[in-house]
This record gives sequence, structure tokens and C-alpha cells, in this order.
Amino acid sequence: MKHHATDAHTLVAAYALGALDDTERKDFDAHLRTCEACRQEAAEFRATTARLAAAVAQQPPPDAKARVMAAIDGVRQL
Amino acid sequence: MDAPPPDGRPRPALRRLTTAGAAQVNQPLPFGSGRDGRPSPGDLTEIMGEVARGDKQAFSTLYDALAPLVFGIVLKVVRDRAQSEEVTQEVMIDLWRQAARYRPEAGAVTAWAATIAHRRAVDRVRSAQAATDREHAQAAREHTTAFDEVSEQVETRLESEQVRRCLRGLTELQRQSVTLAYYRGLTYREVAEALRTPLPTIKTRMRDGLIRLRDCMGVTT
Repeated sequence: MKHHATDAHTLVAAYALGALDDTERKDFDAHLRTCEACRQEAAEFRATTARLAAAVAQQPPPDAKARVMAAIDGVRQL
Repeated sequence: MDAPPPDGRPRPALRRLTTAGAAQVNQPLPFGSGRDGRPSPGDLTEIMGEVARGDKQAFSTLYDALAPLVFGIVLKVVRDRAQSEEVTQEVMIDLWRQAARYRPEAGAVTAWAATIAHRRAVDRVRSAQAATDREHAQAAREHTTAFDEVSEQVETRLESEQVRRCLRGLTELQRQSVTLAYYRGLTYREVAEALRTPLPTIKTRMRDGLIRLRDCMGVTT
């Protein structure tokens, strides 16, 4: 039995905060596919952390856009 | 509303405003949406669809809308400016590449982009720190007050008054658990160590801290 199942709900916040290591995150991604309640909470928490990101928004240097626009010409989309 | 024509190129066709998602524009918006001619969340969802179909003009609009969000959080976590510019470029290219994977039902475009940006930033910081992890954890144990000061600085530099107010509504431990993880890129284990607090407590404080923030900000999905 996986101990993650019982543990999972307490990890939703750490997951949304990006505070899990790679292995834990992959385990949690797998858990999310089977847990509707966790998916809902994860979505809400991600919307919340996105606001934390927006609060520190900063303009990147102006020449960065031209580099990105040039770069995507050679990037195949999934 | 449409973004102004970039670099004197012809203005793209006017975008249809989404009316079906009216609830989305009634909540506080993440970054100046609706002002300065920036696209609303509903517009961004539509633009994402165009980007997924390879529309570069749509991507140009998406870039203008998301690059400050991406650069801001990357810079907060990575801190080094040159590296942050590099990571931001990778993230923006990744948004182009992965556009078709975006699922509106899983959340707003801004949340999707912030997640990708934060993960890249954290990857950069963690791989750079891998060699000095032990030292890092040791330093964290010895300098809990230094972390207090950092969180304080984090808080006072926030541009969003609402976010600042909501962070102030958390307990000290909730606030530090959330900001050390999100703005400093620490794992919850590192947070526990830095705050000399048992792991289960940190996990719980992260969760009740985010619940309180979510409710304070009126976040819905």
C-alpha cells in the first residue's frame, strides 16, 4: 500500500507552492489523477500562488521579446 | 481589450470579448488586467487557443501579458538578474511549445504560466545549490532570524496591496512557510529545517496558510 494516499491531502499545499522534490511531485501528479477533491484544491491553491507571483511582477528587459520571438521560429509545438 | 500594435506592425483583428466567463472578471485580477489595454483572463484563454494553433501574432500578445509575471517570479526565486533573464526566455519558449497542453478547466492561463515559471526557477536554483546543500541547510539552521528579515523584505517589496494585506493576515509560521517555499524556492523539508519546526507542522501550516490566503484573496477557479 502506498502511504501517499493517506498523506496526499496534506501535500496539496506544498505541491502548489513548488515545495516538493521531483520524486514527490511525480507521485503527487499520479495521485491527482485519481483524486477529484485534491485536483480541485490544487487548482485553487495554484490560483492563489499565481497571485503571489503577480504581486512581484516586473518588466523583463525590452530586448528579451525579440529574442523569444526569433527563437520560437525554430521550436516545434507539442 | 487588444494590446497596442507592437513595433508599428499592423494591428491584429479585434478580439471578441468573452461574455460567458463574466464571473472571472468580477474577482480581483492578478496583474493590472483590464487596465493599460491588457487582456482579461477570458481573453487570455482564447489567445492560448490561437497560440496552440501556431499563431505567432497571438503569441506576441501572450508574451506582453505574461512576461512580467514570469520574469517577476523567476527573479524573486533565482535572484541573479542575468540567470533570471535566461530562465524567463526558456519559460516563454516553453509556453509556446506547450500551448496545446493548456487546459482551461484546470485553471487560468496566469496560474498555468506561473506554475511553469516557478518550477523552472526552482530547478535552476536547486541544481545550482545541489553542491552546497549541506552547507545551505546548516546556514539555514544557524540563521533563522536572517530568514525572518528576508520574509520581511519580501513582504514590503510586493506591488500588490491586496497580497500584502492577505499575507499580514497569516500567522508568522504560516507566512514564513508560504514565502520561504514560494519566493525562496525551498522544499518543505528545507523550510522545516530553516524554521526548526517538525515536518508535519510545516505541511499543515502551508496548507492552512494557503487556505487563508485563498479566502482572503477571494480566489476561485
